[in-house]
Amino acid sequence: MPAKKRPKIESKAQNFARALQQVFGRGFGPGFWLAVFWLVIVAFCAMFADWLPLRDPLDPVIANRLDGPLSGSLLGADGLGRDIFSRLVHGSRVSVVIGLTAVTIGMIVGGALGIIAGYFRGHFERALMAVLDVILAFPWLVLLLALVAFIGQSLFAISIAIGFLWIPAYARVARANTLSVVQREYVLAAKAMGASTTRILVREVLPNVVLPLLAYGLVAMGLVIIVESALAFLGLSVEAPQPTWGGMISEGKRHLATAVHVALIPSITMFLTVLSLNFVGDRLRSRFDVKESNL
Amino acid sequence: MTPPEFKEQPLLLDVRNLTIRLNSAAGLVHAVEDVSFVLREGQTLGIVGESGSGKSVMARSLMNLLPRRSVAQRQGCVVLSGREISALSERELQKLRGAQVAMIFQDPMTALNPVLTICVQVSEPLQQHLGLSKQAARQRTIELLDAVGIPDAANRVDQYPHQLSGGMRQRVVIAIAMACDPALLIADEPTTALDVTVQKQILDLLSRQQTQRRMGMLLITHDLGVVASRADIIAVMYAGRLVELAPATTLFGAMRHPYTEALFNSIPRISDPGHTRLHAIPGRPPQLHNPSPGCAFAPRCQYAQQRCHRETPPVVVAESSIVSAKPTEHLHACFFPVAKSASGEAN
Amino acid sequence: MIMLLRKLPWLIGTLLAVSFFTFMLVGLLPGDPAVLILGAGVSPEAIVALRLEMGLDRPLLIRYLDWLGSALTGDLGRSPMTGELVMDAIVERLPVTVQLGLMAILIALVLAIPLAMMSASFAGSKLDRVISGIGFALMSVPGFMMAIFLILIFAVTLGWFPATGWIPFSVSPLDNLRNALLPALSLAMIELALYMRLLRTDLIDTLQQDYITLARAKGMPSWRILTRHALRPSSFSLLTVVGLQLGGVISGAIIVEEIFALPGVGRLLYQSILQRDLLMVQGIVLFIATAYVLVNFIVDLCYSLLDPRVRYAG
Repeated sequence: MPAKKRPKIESKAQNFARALQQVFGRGFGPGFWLAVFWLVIVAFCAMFADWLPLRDPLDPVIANRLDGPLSGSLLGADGLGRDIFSRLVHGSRVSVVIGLTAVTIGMIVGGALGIIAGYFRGHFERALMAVLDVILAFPWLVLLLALVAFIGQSLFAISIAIGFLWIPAYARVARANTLSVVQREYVLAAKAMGASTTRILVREVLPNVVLPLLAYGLVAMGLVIIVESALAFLGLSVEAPQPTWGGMISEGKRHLATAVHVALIPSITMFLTVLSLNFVGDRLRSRFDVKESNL
Repeated sequence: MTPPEFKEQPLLLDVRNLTIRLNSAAGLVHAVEDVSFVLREGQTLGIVGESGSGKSVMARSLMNLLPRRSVAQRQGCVVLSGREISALSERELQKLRGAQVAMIFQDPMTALNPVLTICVQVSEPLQQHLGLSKQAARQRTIELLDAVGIPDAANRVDQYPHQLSGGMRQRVVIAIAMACDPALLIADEPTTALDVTVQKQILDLLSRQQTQRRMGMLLITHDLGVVASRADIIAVMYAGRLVELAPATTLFGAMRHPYTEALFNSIPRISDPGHTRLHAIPGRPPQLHNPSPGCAFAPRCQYAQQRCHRETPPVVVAESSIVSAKPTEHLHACFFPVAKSASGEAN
Repeated sequence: MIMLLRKLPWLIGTLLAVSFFTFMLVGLLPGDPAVLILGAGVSPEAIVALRLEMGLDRPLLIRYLDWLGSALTGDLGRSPMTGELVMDAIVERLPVTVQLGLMAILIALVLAIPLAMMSASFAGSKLDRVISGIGFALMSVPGFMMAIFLILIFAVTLGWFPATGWIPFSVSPLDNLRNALLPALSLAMIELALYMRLLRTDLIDTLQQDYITLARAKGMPSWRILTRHALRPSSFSLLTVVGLQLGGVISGAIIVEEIFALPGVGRLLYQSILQRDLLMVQGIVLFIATAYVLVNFIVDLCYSLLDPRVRYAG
């Protein structure tokens, strides 16, 4: 019989490093990094739009009206002669800010509600589920239109309105995950050792539920951008003169026959952004799930 | 039991050097390695082995039922009633499946489609292979259900699987298998998931069907008890290889392979005094990813010697030692075969 | 039948809550209804008088019950802006929206089911990755963007279909379909992606079940196994998703009707919101939300009736 090997005891740091390596070690593929790269560019534009050497996005130069790409300005001009590239960059700010804010609101509020419902069950859970059922009975656009009409059309207001829309989705995901985590043995073990409710929630439940929520976050952000642009298309998002991608597409619709690029360019930009978010989010989600099953 | 002389019966199934390697996350799995055996009409071949021995993979690969994507390599040939079937197209195989060769699986709870009635599931092969009309198939279905011992067949026929118990579901599975009067039945652990009392009923049912239809049967199990009384020939598999093959009567009288011996020794006996320690086979079943050279059983074998760790023993015919049964082939794969009988006496 | 009765209280409760929520939501919208109707430059007395006449001084609950009572008899009021009866306005435009929605769902299903079957039976292959990739890309394209692309390609460039307008089926079936195709396709694409993804996952799961291996062992041909043995258990979750997605389809319809200038309920809603025609908005939202709850309730019942696992449980 072979001699007994003494088990290696790793330090916490070594453990963490190995865990990281397991998640990111196996290659994600070129597509993944391409998508990340695009997202970084978009985020950069959103943050530093004001400091970039761009033409004034609000300045109508009628002489340039409907100029195609590369005929003077990089991406051409829209129906009022405004520079498309510059408007695109400034418009990214709206999408990114609203995307992040709405998802964060949904995650925190929805997540909290879902975890509480999933852990404590009882009347609260039933009440929450009933309320969610009612909210979800309304088509999202209908709800959103009403909210926007009520709260207003500032950047902040739109973020809150869309964030509100995401609370039910997150609440459901959080509750489902909490229900499954609560049944696992380590929670029972903690309870048996007399851990207080707060301690269990914070140390056992929360870390395990947060991961799926975060993974869903990227995909959710893509959806938020779609929702916001739909609003912008209808003229009900952040008010003019602030450029928005959806608004640009709406304006471009008028010129489909003569100057396709006015609608096409913001469309492609938005499509690439949402696609990248979906792609990265999906890959990360499957990677985290696999890891969970390994545990 | 079945009559002893089988040399005269025509060959039903002839498997030669079957090798299957599967794709897995951890690499190539050597699930089945160079397995050869024959089965004659009316015979029962029992294949015994622990989980991971490759018996189920082999059973499914005979009719190419493994998922397409999983199979990395497949070598060797399978001859059914004189016809080479290993290279047949899926279409051709579909004509044979259910008609010439039938298969029953381990878990009756999941073997039947939950959203289709019993009638539909049993009639299907009747309509597909025998060309029966819907009405005729339904009639035949009721007869089949009756034959396998399902009470009130005429009403049960329109029920759904979850309305039947496990034992009854397995009977339905058997009815499906018998529907087109196949020449060969492959039974993959047919009783493992059933209660002991039900086990005997099912096995008796299979026996009866086999005798009535003069069917050949491949009985795969990990249970030595099942195989001892029901099989004519017993094959023992370990780590994807055939380690011993002998007529049932001979095997118990003269085991050759250490693994077979260890298997027998691990069965607790009523005659043993109280508190006798159970004989488990030490060690663990081998990993099938990167098989090391040498005999797969060597790490756990109490008779293992240097050579066993270096070379893989080929399958050879046992030296005719004092063997009492008729001289039917006794094969084993060991450099240093033991010579013991089931009662533990050396011979 | 007993199942129906047991679920009925939930249905009624939800519908009541939905109606109340609708009333509250619209009631919270800014703008005094009387002011909106009369205009800003009118004397305060006139406003007060109109408010009295419209009953706006009564407590919320009374107003709600009054409105609900009328609604149950089919009277959703008369729009102060357009003068139309709200119910009439809805009913007149309903066929357009219903046709649009049904066409979209139908197109999506007709395409999604075979594509998902192909994808699932060859899971992991190049074909599967291509199909899944297309589905993934489609999910990133919102309805209005798809509409613009379709208009660009088929209306502006190729000129095969009109970009706007609507001709009722009764007038000219062929023209009706010509007008409806692009809008329906715009809506269908996202649904297609969703259905395909869900069905593919479900089918792959089903195809790994023992009973499928048994069906193969019986010698059943592959297409029969896909359609008869695999599709059926998977179709139930698809049905559920179709029901749940109706909200998305309706939302999409609002935008698509606006883009293509279709005289449907969605467009009416949008314009009513823009014009602050609150009574109309109230009526339409109630109608839509009620329809959604009812349809999902029926889907739920059908599920119980069709899936034998549920029907005979216990």
